[in-house]
Amino acid sequence: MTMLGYQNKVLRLHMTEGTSSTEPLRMDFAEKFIGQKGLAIRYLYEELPPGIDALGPDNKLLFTTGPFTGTGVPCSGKLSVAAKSPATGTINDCSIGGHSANAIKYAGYDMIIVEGQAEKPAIVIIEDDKVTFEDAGELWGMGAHEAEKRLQDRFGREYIFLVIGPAGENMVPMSCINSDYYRQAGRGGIGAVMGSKKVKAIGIKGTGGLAVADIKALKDKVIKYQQEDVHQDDNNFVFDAGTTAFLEACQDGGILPKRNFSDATDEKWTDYNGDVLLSKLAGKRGCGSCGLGCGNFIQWEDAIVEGPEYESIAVAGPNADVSNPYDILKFNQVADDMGLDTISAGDVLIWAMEMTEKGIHDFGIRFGEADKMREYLKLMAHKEGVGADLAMGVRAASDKYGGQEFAMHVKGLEYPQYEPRGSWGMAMAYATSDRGACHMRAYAPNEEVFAASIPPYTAEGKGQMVYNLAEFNAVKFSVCICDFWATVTYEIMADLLTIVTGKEWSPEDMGEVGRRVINIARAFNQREGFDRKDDTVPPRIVKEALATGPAAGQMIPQEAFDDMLNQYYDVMGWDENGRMPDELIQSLL
Amino acid sequence: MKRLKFTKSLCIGCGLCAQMCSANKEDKVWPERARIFIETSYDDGKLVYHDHYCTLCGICVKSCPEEAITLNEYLQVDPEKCTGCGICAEKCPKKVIRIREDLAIMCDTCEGDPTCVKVCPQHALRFE
Amino acid sequence: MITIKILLRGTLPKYWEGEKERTIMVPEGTTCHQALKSQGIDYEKIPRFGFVAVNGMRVMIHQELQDGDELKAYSKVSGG
Repeated sequence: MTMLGYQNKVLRLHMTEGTSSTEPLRMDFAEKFIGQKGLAIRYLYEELPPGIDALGPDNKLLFTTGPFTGTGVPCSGKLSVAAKSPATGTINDCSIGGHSANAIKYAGYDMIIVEGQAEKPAIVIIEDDKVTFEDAGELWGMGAHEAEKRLQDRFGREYIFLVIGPAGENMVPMSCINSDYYRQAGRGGIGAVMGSKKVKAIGIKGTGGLAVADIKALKDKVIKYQQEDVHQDDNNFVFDAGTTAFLEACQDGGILPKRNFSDATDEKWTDYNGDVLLSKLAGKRGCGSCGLGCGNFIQWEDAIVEGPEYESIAVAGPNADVSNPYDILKFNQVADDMGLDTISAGDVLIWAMEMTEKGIHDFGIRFGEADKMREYLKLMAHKEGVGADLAMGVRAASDKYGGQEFAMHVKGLEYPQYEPRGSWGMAMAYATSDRGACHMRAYAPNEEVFAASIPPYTAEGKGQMVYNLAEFNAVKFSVCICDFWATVTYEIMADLLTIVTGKEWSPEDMGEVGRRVINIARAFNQREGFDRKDDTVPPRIVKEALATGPAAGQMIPQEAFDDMLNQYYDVMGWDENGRMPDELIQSLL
Repeated sequence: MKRLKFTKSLCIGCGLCAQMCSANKEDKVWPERARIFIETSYDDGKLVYHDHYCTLCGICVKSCPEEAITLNEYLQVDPEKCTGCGICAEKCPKKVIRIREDLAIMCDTCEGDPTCVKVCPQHALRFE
Repeated sequence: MITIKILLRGTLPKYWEGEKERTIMVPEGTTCHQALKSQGIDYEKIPRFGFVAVNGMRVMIHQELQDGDELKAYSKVSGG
């Protein structure tokens, strides 16, 4: 059936030819994978032959909305940005906040697919059904912030821009795509894919509307959920403090990484915690259709940024042995402007610090050298000098120079800032996540550390625990609801989906979709040759014990890690090599 | 008489006011066709508020050459009298009025029960 | 009897009408759970209850308290 809430239209940008075309949405895909993450991965599974070069003309960059996008459903303002990753070779779906998702929907599209490669750097301007290709001209080479400002001045505020910085232009495998200045589709080198297609920016103005099955019920439910459920304190902490709230919890929980994951607490955390950072709060801003407004707009001298998020604070703070809040903010701002993922860029810099201090290779940067960090971000964005090697990520750099023992990554995607020796299930979550080490697939600390009685330092039950978390997020990011509506349930999702699409969805359907999305991502990777050998844990986690905090003395024995992997494969119905049987793959298609 | 009141510092730029206004007044979620348009944006390292909402100033009433607009508890446009000339939209200081199919479209506070106020998640909009 | 300080984090202060800190006396051998429950915070009844930390380190909820301990209670968090 043709579900409502969708525009039932996909826009393809043929960058090689400089033309565009439209086609109906694959409703059969949407019925199984709904939207956003799931829908994007299904399309990519269909359209990308295995083994292609992620920076070549055959890769496709998908900007995908979901049925909730633009309807006012709480926390539905995020946009999936997906492609094959140049950093890992796996599927990579990112999620960007801000207002681009709504703009695309109101312009009349469910999805924009960018194909081919432009001959010369270009920008694409979309005003509803009018699509124009222009030379990027002097925008190419500019920082993302200046480029976005120029575009906004020229085209007006009604346009929302998706922009890459110099890092994306130079196809750095840890470059991101920006929007609204400070929001990113961050990881896995998604910016490099846009840069490989020589697209500097895409601007979207959407003035249309969106039909839903039951608009009166939608309006009533939106008001009800925005006022009642979403604004429970349990979700509203993101308005009050944003993700800075995690700092103290991670410190006490013993999972705040210090000095390239050498330890898991930092006694200086009060120097840069939420209270300190938010003392310079200049405003709050959120995504389209979101009532939580998690964006903290901070002006600290010339460090101006909407942020920083927990990941950026931890990687540029304790993990780099820096504790000056200005330095942390400025790192975030420079990374945003260069168009670099703060997590990966930070992780490779702190690895370089350890390499230098250990005398394995002198990268010229040591722990605590905050200004060098900012200088190196610029070098990495331009692949210049010492930045050329570092820009390629910890896996490539450690393959070349050594130091693989403490190169913290899985499949070539650098480690997020939750120390897994303090939360064992997280090690397995990082290992099995579809795009390399990612904390947004299964957020294990929520059950193992920020919970009263589940022991973190054991493998027992972790397979099922990680699966439950992964299933929930997989469907949540496919219907199009942001992580921060923490108290949303399958009942609420199914209810809203039914009201919007006109098709009957049940809570059980939600769980099934979640499982299906995990599987389609795994199927993509399996076709690219990934299996158990790639679901790894860095040597540091298995060989070195933490020194401080509640997890002091902990490291994860290899047998425990292997046990957790076995449990997870079992729950998923994959074999002992983590491979999906053929019938399972076919059942998804 | 109650009117819409807006507190900038509470606004997070979610756009739900326009989205739900249109959901109430049109048959689609169509913020471009709402009767309220409030947004925020970043400009030159500053957060900027763009608040277009009806304050019941009454200028449209006075400027209408056909006397098609009346104001009691809320504004009403007589479709028989309105010619779609657009003078009210031009004069509206908050730039809220639109002309569509030769008819002036303006905020009627949902006849005294404004939807935008009900949905505004941070209570930046009030009706008092 | 021993003296302990209780600090609430995240969304838990709502159970104390916004108050975040209290110093109380409890019998020796009282666990974190018992101490919190005596002050109206029962982790078994609060779905979004997170974890507890004593003197800045996370512990299990049934750990016994000592004189002078600082007990911090968190609600659940999520995201990145």
